[in-house]
Formats: sequence, C-alpha cells, structure tokens
Amino acid sequence: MGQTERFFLTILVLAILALVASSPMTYRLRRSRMFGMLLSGGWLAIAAGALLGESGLGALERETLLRSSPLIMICLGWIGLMVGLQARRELFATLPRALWRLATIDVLVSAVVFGFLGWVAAALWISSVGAPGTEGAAWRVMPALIIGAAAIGWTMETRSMRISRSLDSARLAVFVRGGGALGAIAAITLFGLISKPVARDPASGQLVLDWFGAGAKLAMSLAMAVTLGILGRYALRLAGRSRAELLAVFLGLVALVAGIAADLATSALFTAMLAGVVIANLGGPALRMFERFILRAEHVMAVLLAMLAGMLIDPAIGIWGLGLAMSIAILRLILKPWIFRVGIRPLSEPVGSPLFIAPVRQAPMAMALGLGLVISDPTPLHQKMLTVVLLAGLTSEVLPLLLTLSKSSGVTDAPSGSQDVASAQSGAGEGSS
Amino acid sequence: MMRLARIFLAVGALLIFVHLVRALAAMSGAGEGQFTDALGDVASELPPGLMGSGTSLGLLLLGSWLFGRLFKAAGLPKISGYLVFGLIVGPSALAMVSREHVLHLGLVNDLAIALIALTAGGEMHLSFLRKHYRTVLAFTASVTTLVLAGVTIAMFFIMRPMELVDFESVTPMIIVALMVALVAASGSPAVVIAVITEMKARGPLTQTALSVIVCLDLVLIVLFALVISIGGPILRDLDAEKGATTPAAVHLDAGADVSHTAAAEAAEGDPERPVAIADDGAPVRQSLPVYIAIHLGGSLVVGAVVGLFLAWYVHAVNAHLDIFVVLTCFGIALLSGALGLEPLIVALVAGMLMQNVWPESSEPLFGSVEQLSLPVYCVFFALAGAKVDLGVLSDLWMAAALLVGLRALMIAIGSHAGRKISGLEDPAGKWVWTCFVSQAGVSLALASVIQRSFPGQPFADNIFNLTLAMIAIHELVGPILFKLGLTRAGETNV
Repeated sequence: MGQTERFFLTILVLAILALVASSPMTYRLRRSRMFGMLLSGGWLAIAAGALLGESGLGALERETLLRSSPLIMICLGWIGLMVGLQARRELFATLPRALWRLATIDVLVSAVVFGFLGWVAAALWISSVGAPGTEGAAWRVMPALIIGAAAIGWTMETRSMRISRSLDSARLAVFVRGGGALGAIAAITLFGLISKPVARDPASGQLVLDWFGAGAKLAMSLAMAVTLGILGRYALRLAGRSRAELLAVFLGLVALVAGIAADLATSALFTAMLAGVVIANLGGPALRMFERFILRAEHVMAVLLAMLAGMLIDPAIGIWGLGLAMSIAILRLILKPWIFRVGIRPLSEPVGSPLFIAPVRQAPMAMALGLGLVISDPTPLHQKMLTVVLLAGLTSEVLPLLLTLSKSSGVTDAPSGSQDVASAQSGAGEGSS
Repeated sequence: MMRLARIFLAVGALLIFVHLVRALAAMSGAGEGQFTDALGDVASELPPGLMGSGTSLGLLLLGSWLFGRLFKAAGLPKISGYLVFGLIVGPSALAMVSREHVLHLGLVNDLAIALIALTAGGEMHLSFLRKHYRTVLAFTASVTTLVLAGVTIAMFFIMRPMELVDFESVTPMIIVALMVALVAASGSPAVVIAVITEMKARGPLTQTALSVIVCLDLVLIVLFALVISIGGPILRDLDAEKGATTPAAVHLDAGADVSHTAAAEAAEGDPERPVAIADDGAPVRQSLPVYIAIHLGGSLVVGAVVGLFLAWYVHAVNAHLDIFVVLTCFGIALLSGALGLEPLIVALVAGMLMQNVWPESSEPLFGSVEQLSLPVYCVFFALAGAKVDLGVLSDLWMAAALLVGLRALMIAIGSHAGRKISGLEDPAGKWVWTCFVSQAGVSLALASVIQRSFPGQPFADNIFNLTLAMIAIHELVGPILFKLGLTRAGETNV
C-alpha cells in the first residue's frame, strides 16, 4: 500500500472514529468534564495525528501530508466560510457594546504583546541558527504574526467550566462565547492582512517584503470575495430549498475559494471568510438552511484539522520553542483574565466563577491558522511555529483546569431558572467552532 | 428566458473569474514550487498542478451544476450538461482544467464511482432479480454477444485499411478487435443511475435497465480480464520481436490510475504469468483463474464486509449519515485500489446487502446517498467530459462514427432479441435499448487499460484514441436517449 493510500485510510479511520465519538452513542462519556475538555480542544485528535506523523511512529511522511494540501485548504476554506457566515450585520447590531469593547481590547493587547514576543523569539531563534539569507525582517514577520494572531480570542466552550444556571453566569458565558467568536474573526483578518506583504522571491527562494504585491493581493482577495459572494448568493437562490442542490453549491464554493487561495498563495481562511461575510450580508431565504448545513460537519472538520495539525508538528523545537510556548501560556494566564475583567467591567460579577479564567484557554482557530501557515509555506520553521502554538494551547488548557479544580469547591453561584439563562443567551450571538 | 440568460451570465462570470485568477497566479508564480527555510536548507516541491486542483474541483462542481440547470431548462438531462461543461473547460477546449488537475482529482472520481455503485446496489431488489432473472440474462447475453461479434468482425476488417494496426498475422488482429469490441459493449451504470435519480424514475424499464447494465458490465469486466491476460502476452511477444520493451499487466479498476512499468520480461514461458501490477509496480504472479477468483471473490467478500459495517453503523450510531456515507465510499475507493479489488463490485454488493437484508435501516442511509448524489454526479460527469479529447475526435470522426453506428445497430438487434426471448412487455421492452447507449467511467477505464498495457506500441495509442472518440459520442448522446426512453415508457416522476 502506497504512502498516499495509507495516509487517506488513516484519516478515514480516524474520521469515522470521530463520527462515532460525536454521536449520541457516546453522549454519557462526553458529559464527563475531563473528556469534554479533551474533545473541545481537539487534543485527542492532535495526539492521534502526532502519533501517526513523521515525529511519532512515522507511519505517514511529511511529503505525503504536503501532497494532501488541497484537502487541507478545503478544510480551512470550510472553516473560513463558516466563520464568515456568522458575521451578519443584524447579528452584530444585537451584540452588547461591552462585548465589542472586550473584543477590541483583546485584539489590541494580544496582537501587540504576543506579536512582539513572537518577533523577539523568532529573531533570536533564527539568528542562533545563522542560516544565510535569513537576516531580512520578512523572516520574522510570519512567526510574529502567527503567535500574535493565535493569541487573539479564546475557546468558546463553556460546558466543561461547570457554570451554575444563574443569570450572571449565563451572561458571562455569553461574553466568553461572543468574545471567542469575534476573536476568531479578528484573528483570521489580522493574519490574512498582515501576511500579505510576505512573499517568496522567485529567484532566490527567500522571504521578502513586497508592499506593492501586498496591495495587489489584498485587492484581489476583496475582489474575489465580492465576486464569489455574489455568485454564491445567486447560486443559493437558484438552488432554492433543495438540500442536494445546496450541498452542490456549498461544496463548489468551498472548493473554489480554497482552490483560488491556493492558486494565489493567499490565506484560504481569510478569503473564505470574506466570501462568507459577503454571502451572509447579501441575505436570502436559503441562507439559514445553508448555515445549518455547514455547521453539521463542524465537528468532523475540526477533528480532521486537529489530526492534520498533529501529523505536521515538529517536536524538535529546542529550548527556543519550548521557552516561547511556555511564555505564551504564562502570559495568557496573566493577561486574558485581566482583559476579560476590563472588557466587561460594568457587569455584576459572580465572584470566583471559573468563567473568568475561561479566556486563558487558546482558541481552536489558532490551530487552523498554524496549519494554514504550514500549508501555504511548508518550511520546518513554520512547522515548529505550529508546534509552539499547539504546545502553548495545550499548556493554557491545562493551567485553568488545574486552577478550577483547586477552586471548584468554592464556586457557588446562586441557582436560577433556565428561562433566565435562555434570555441571557439570546442577547448575543453565539459563534460556532 | 431571463432565467436562462441569468444562468448563462453566471457561468460566463465564473469562467472569466477563474481565468483571471489563473492568469494572476501564473504572473506571480504563486502556488507551486520550492521552499527554503530559515532554520535549514530543506526544500519541498509539490507535484505540478496539485495546488490548482482545488480551483478546478470548484469550477467543475459549480459550473457543471449551473450547466445542468441550463440543460434541464432546455429539456435535456442534467448530466449531459455536466459532461458538456467538463468538455468545455477540459484540456482539449478551454484548458481551464488541465490534465494534471484531472489526474489529481482521480480520488474524487473513485469516490464518485463507489457512491454511484452503492446507489445502484440499493436499487437492486433481489425479489425483482429472482422474478426477472431471465429477462436480465436474456438482454445481457443477446446485447453482449451481438455487439462483441459485430464490432470484432468489423474491426478485424477495417483496422488495417484505416492504419490503426500494422500486424501481419491474424491472431493479434483478432485480439485487438476483441478488445475494442469489449470496450464497445460496455455500458455505463453511472449514467443509468444518474438519469434514473434525476427523473425520479420507477417502473419495469427502470428496474430492468439497472439490473441489465450492472450485469453487463460485470460480465465484460471478467471477459476483458480474460482477453487481456491471454492476448496481452501474444501482443507483447510481437512487440518484443520488434525490439521494444513493454510491461505486462492489467489492473482492471474503473477510474483508477493503472500503472504498468514492469514484468514483461517474466512473461515468456512462465506458467504463472503476471496478471496484474501491484501499487509498488511489482508484477502479481498468479495463474489467471486464481487472480480472477481473488479479484472478483475478494471484491464480493469486501463488499459484504462493508455492507455489514454500514448496517452496524446505521443500527448502533445512526448519526451524521451523510458524512459517514462519503467516508465509506472514500474507504471503498482506497481499499479497492490498495487491495486490487473492483470498487464497482465492492460498493454494489454493499448496497445490495443493505437494501435486501436490512431494508428498513437502509432507508435513511440511501436517503443520505441520494442527497449526496448531485454534487458527486456533477464532479464525476464533468471530469468524464474533461477527459474527452476533441482533437482525437476530429481526427478519427469517421472511424468513430462507423463504430458508433455499428454498435447502435447491434444494440438494437440485441435488444430486440432480448425482448423476444424474455417476453418483456411494452413500453419497457420497446425502450430498454436506450440504456445500453451510454458510456462513461467503466468504458474509459477499459480503454485506458489497453493504452497503458502496451506503452510505446502505436496500435495501443490508435485504439485508445478510437475508443475514446466513440465513448465521447456515447457520453453525450446516451443520457439524452435514456431520458427519452424513460419518458416514453411513462416511468418518470418529475
């Protein structure tokens, strides 16, 4: 059996296991807190991927994985479209101002602090190796950018935080989810925009900063998104309410968006998200059905991406990588609860609620961004950056768990009716993923 | 009219859009190539066309879907629209989908074959087969025999005057003529299933057409394996006398990439001649009966196992059925390629088992399959259209037209004989011939086996091109005729 067949069969078996794991059959198991956290972060899938990849048992070679780039791009395009479709004007209009403030503070602080950290670490790391031709600033931009963008937002999962059913807890949960959703949009946008000037010099193969090219790429991305959005909206209208026709349109759009991003070496996540935003805001009766349809495959897509990310990690990150990952985790632990408190300040706060440390946990989008970086420019440096992002994510997942475990006996929010919870949750849009 | 104009505009916009993107990508040199690294000198190179295959997939899917709507509005089958769109954007016309892209999308093609065969299996009711097996056998035998006999004889006499072959002895002439006849006799279960699904057809013609076309292709796959395994070494010996080095083997796999690079040298005087090539390029050394037993028997066994697995999933898990069906079909395509099995048979058996053993639990599963069928048909038939070589068609149109006419005549006579033997009543009996005209995946796979089994031999390329031209015509005409047949038989429900 060839490497490619082995790769796809492995993916297949794991994807089927993911389907079984997400079915009602395993509902009881998923209710367990530990298992819920593992599933929400995709850590089981990442571990399975790492075990099978070149850095683990070596069952799958790096080159084989890279040959599956179009598949990965399509997965990323799916995620991007899914995020973009959430960005509807009318939904944004319902969001509380405090949520916008929270997201703005988070984006600014995370991008600056973590981006700077990434820049410094990358500069030291690259100069410690001293490879010729890597003195330019362009080599530092992508590591800094991925660290900065990956730090934006947090995971939207709140079930494992064991929150009470009080109104305040429900509001806090909405802020966690809303902040996470806005963070995902911001992270993709930031990464998509700032990565544009970085290009490969066709002659030397080195990374260079190309500002003119950046402008052209941005204009292209916008033009593509608008054209695809209009085309997509027309196709959706034509498809009507037929699920089969909607599926054909959706798959066609995703493949086209991801394929074009691959053709032009731009971010599939960003291009697809822009197309999703255009489709979402052009409206249309089939849109809700379309959205529901996309979200059905959300879990499998996330597991697939997590496995692929696990397969592409490079554990030889050395002291620089390890240091960077730990610094990110520690900074998250310090900064994120502070950002959350500052962002939502006027609200009454249930003291000691584990939801305050929920933002410490890294967003799953970070993994998608890291994977997109490796696929668009598959160098060992970028694989190491993906590893750093995943390691930082795992550490920032474990730290709040340990903290909440130690505090769990003290958390006593007053119980309240489920109606309150529902009304609070309806106050803000819940993002997906 | 406005609606049609709008669809035309949308297709035009899509084509211009993708063309612009490709031009920009070519200008910037993005998407392909080597990568240097800040931490070392590692370079990676992706295969040519790989990164562009995503755009091609999207273009084929969206464009063929829109074209299908156009054709539907014009009263033609949607799959003809998919095929025509593939033809337009394919390598021989606008070349927006390159040959490399078609190759990289091979796995999608295999997935489509598995899904189509699963659907076909789901439509094969044992109760119907038990009741009507004589009808199925009568049509299969009469059409196969007559097309094989007619085309073999005709090819035997026209191949040399048309300079398709340069053999001097009779035996290789007969072998090559028989190979062409086998390709000519094959039909397209995929087209039949697609048109039935599109027209929501139910009735005796629908059931008979489906059963006969599946049975016919199974018989032809076995016959083709026999002919190429027995006749292949004779043709290669002839070539060896001329000093060429050739490979020896065949791996019959509808739509699969058949690689043949070795083993010719071992064929001479070996009682266990290599009858197939494994994925690693090594010859599979088995006697022909053993090979066929493993190839077909293995497909049956694996198909049964897949059927059991499907049943277990529906019973025990029963969630995300559509995604599960896609994954299973993907698995069938991969496993069949890896184990040298026939994906068509594997999926067919799985579908039949589900439909006939667990009819109630198979209902939601086939419901999901039906929903998935549209995008799958779009890609599958658009890819089939993209494989059509218009240059070859224009070069060989006379020979191809002759072959098409002869085949049509033999199908008509064979169907008439089958109708008389089986006593199938009108209107189904009158229109059953329309199901035999279409050709697509299986025929293309058989034709490519001829070409790849004898690389470097001019006759192989000539025969491949001729059969390709014939298949191209049948691809376009077949669905229209079958739709007409179903409509005239009063079995459509749209």
